[in-house]
Amino acid sequence: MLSAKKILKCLDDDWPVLEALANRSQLYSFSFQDVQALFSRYFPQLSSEQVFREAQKLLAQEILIPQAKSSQLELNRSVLEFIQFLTQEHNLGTVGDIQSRIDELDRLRARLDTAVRQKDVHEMRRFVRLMDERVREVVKHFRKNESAILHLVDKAKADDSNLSLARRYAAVMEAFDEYIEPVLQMIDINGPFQTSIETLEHCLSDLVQFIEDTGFMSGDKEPLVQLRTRLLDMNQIGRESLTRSTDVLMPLREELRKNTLISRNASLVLATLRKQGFEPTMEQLVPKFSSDHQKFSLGSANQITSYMAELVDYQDDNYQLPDSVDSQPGANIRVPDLQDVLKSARTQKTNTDLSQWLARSYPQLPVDELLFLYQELSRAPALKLEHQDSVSEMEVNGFRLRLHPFVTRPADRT
Amino acid sequence: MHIDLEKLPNLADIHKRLTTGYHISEQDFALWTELDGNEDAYSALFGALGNQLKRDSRGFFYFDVDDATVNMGKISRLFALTTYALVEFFADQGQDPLRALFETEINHEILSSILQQQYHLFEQLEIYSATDLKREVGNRMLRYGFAKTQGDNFKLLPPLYRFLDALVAVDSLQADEGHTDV
Repeated sequence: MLSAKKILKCLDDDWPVLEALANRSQLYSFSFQDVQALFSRYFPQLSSEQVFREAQKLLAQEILIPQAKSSQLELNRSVLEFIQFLTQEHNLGTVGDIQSRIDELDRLRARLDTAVRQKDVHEMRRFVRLMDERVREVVKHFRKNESAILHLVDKAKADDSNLSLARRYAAVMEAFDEYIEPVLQMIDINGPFQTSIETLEHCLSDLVQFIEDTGFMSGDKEPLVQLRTRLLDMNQIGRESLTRSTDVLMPLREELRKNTLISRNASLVLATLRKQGFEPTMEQLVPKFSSDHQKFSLGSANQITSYMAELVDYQDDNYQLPDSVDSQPGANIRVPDLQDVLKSARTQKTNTDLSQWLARSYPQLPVDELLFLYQELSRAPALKLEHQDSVSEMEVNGFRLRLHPFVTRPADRT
Repeated sequence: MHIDLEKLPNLADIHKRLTTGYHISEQDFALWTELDGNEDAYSALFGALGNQLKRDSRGFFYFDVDDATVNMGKISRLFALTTYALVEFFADQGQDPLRALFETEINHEILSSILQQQYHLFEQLEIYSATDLKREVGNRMLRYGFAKTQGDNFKLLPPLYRFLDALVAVDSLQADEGHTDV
């Protein structure tokens, strides 16, 4: 027989041991020796006799109870649930837990209707109290399940064992498939949950209206209003809790999906490569990255080979030669040889004025060439020239020259 | 846009690395912080020089290029093959490829295993031994910022996601092909 005060005192005194036992009982049962070991670990100051007595006390108060046909022990279910409630270590419930309460609410509403019609105040109060209880339970389930999902996600994430994601996330995925999905379907706007709640809300509103209109049972109006508010709250809490749960579950689901996808595609690609070779498949798979250094240098023989391969597609740019520009034809005029000029000057003795003769004989020659010939010829002893006193002017290729011309000596003129 | 060069003390180093195909990730702490803090300035500056700076949300910067040289194409191919072989290797061991790729030190043993598994393919890329693989792939991955050294081994870095993204995209390609078949 559980004694409330004694249990509370035990919880207070032996909390570390009970908390450890609560964690352990999720997975397996434990023996009396395990309990003693826990006591000596958390309370090292106790003698072995005291440890035995403390463990025995838990057993005597039915906080620990022996399992059927076994010497193993387990925590009393009520105590375990209380500890889990205190430590927020909830286990995920099922969609059935919520569904059954909603069904119960439907049933109670029908009973309440009847009671109201029969003006049975006593029954009405009872049903309202029961409905209130069910609504609270649904809310409690929503909250408990949300905390359980958070707990699952944390555990899955923190698990650093070498198991695959699929294995580590199994519980999370199950939570998604077994709880989130069905509950989402249930509270869907066209789902049975919504219909029940709406009907119940209408029913309660009508009842409140009836009390306000007639003044009959006016003392019972307050609990009805309370119930209606709690009912609407429940709806809200349910939705919010589901949204939060989905938010934490989704990334894990996505991670798992991506890992599966990547492993599958890697096998697929490798298989395709084996069958078809690198060319067709790899082309679309390799990200492009480039290096300037690589672009302009060749290292190993492989690289030279690949460079040669690249040359196959080489096309040189068409180079457009510039159009030729017409140049002055006189630019490349032939300058006569000095000896030739001297020879022709000697043979043509008719000339009197050297400058005039030069200008006449070589009209195309540039002035500087002409002057050079003039200077050379004037000094040539073969021509026997002399300076004239009078100044004469002449024009050669647009240049005006003033000079004392060299002429053949009069004695030579014949 | 006004760019204050005094705020970019590592400009030369960053530019040099990015142009050689290096991926700057969070492990290059000084360069990363500077790029991270002055991303706009750097984008504008490199953009004007004809290079497109890209930032990946998984924590790395690189130059986006359209035309890879033949050499780089071959290196990229080698990286891709190694990555996919590693993915398969880890998946076969019951590990999660995404986690194992970045958390496991790639040692000689692992390289030997993947070489053995995919010898036929590595052979086509002139890789005949685990030592070849380490020299040709490991060292190059270090040079391009896809990996970092860890003792004698190396560890892969987030820029490798570029190859994994390509792998995820395979699915949509296949799906498209499937549609055309139907």
